[in-house]
Amino acid sequence: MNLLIGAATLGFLLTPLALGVFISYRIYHTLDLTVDGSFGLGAATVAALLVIHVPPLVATALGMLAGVMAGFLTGAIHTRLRVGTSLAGVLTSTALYSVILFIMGSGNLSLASSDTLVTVAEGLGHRFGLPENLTILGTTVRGGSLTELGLMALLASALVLGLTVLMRTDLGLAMRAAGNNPQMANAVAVDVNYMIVLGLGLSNGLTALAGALFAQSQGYASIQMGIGMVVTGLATLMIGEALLGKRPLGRWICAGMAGAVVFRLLVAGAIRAGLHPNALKLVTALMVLTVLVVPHLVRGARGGRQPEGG
Amino acid sequence: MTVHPRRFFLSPRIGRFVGLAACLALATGFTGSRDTALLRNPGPGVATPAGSPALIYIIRADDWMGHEWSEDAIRVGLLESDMEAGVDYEFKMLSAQGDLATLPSLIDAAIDAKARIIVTLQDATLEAAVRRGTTVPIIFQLLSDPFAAGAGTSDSNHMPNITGVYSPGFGDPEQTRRVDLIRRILPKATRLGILFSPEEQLSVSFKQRMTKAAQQAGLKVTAVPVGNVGEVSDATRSLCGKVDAIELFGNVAHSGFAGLIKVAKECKVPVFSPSPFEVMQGATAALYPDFQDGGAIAGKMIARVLRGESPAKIPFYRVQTTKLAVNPGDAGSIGVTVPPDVVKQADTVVGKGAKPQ
Repeated sequence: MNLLIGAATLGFLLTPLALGVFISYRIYHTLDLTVDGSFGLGAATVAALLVIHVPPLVATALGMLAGVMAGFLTGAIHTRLRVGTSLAGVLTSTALYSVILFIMGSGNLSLASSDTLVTVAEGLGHRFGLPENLTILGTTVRGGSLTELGLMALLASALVLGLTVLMRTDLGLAMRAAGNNPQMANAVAVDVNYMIVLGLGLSNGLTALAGALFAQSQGYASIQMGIGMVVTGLATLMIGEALLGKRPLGRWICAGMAGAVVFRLLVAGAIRAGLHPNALKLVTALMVLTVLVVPHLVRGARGGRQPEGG
Repeated sequence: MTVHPRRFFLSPRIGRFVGLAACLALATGFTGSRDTALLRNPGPGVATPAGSPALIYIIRADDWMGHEWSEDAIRVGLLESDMEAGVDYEFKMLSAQGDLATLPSLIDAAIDAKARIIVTLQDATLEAAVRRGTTVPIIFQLLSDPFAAGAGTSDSNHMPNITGVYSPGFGDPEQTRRVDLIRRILPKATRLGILFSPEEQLSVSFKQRMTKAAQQAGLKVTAVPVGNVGEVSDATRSLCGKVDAIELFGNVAHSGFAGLIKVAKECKVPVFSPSPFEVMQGATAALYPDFQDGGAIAGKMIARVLRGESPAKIPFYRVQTTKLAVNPGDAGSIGVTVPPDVVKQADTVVGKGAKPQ
């Protein structure tokens, strides 16, 4: 039960990452490699602020803002200096490595004695009568785990809703047009370059928010936290798309959240399977493959339609 | 509108539902592959039924050769405490394989499996365990800094369910001894190169302490940062011809040791390491914390907790002793002679086919 709650919490917590990748990969059709750096940047910024007792909400917002700036930088390198998006992302991400070290002053920053969003939510839960520990299906579960799950689920849902609303506004339509058909968007007076910079800023802001939440959940920030997050983001998005599809838009965005949760549940399943420790990633990959393939096989049996995911 | 039954069952919606159901089934353990031993073990504070070994989860953030040593040493400590594997306890290993996001899930899995004790092997693992706020006894083995992880404020003032063994290991006396060792093997050395990882706090701290100790001994120090494993060879090459010996600190440098030693041998520069495993791979000498002593003490702590003692009453143990490993054969191949008195003093002498003891 603890494993399931923890995995679901982590899934909701990583939803902003999936949404960030959704914007860059699905809206702008580009693989933004800034993600690894901006995730770590969000974690580092929030940790550095929390240890000097900045209120958690403010620190989280500033962590997200740092990611937005990183995205703007990648966008500016791409649009102003005519460097490809992937290379621009690599350059920003590489530079962010040093920036993160400067921010934290070292490779690791503990939040053991700092207030975080998670501890604040836990305190609120206790204030409203949530016990320290409770028993669910015969397993002792910490009350704090449930408040953390609730907090992350609420945040993830709000982000999904917010992004869905945004994508349906004139600004969102302009962003989607700039990503889908830049020439046409340009012809109808959309500033495509501006939209790209804005989109990458939003994408990396969401990624940094995921990093900020992750650091608060784990109780520390590390320079290594962002490594491989672009792959995680892509995997979660594709799992979500395979399960929920891409139409309508709201469901497509919701797929980011579903994919993130399902991905962590699959990792939890691999752990629970109790296999050899070295086999964890192999089993996780096989489980993800199973989930991706089943819907496609069904569609294939139905009449050979092209798969939607991936 | 009529829908053909076959089309209904094979529709994309049903496909997605099947996929989601499959994944949930896998995640919730309906795979049939769950370790049934997990079901037999009682929770913390619950007496283990006769004939049922206590389940001990050993959790590591990453995989490293030294962990196997640590695990073996823990077994020795348990054996010395009259605890028999398979009868009194059963080990279960979990590794996040470098994925920090997976660490909390490993802790949760151990809690759900009603582990009697969780053994954490790296600082990140202890940090994750502290954050989970579990009441399951936690014993850490050979960490660098349990205090930074929030496990306590001093050796005797710590969280009631946490104790263990740590080794800041490379403090000022050790760094001075490290410089002395270089001096004894290379009396004419005047220049020392240090590879370190700027993103690792301890690595930076060791580099600074080593630099201070070396400068006090009259050595000129050139410190080169390495950001990733791919940079280690080039960083080593940058020191060729400029230094008389190389020392290394930090996980990145250690992970890239194969490249480091290859270049160092080409340049005929002896390498000094804080890891005995690297002496087995060609380093000239290593002064290192006593893994075995620490592991055995951690094993004895586990035994005490299994017998009902509270971790709150067991103070943290700081490993006090260091050991020396030398590799005269590889040193000789680059024209360095390890003096006989150093060889005699060494706890481990690595030769062809020999292993550290």
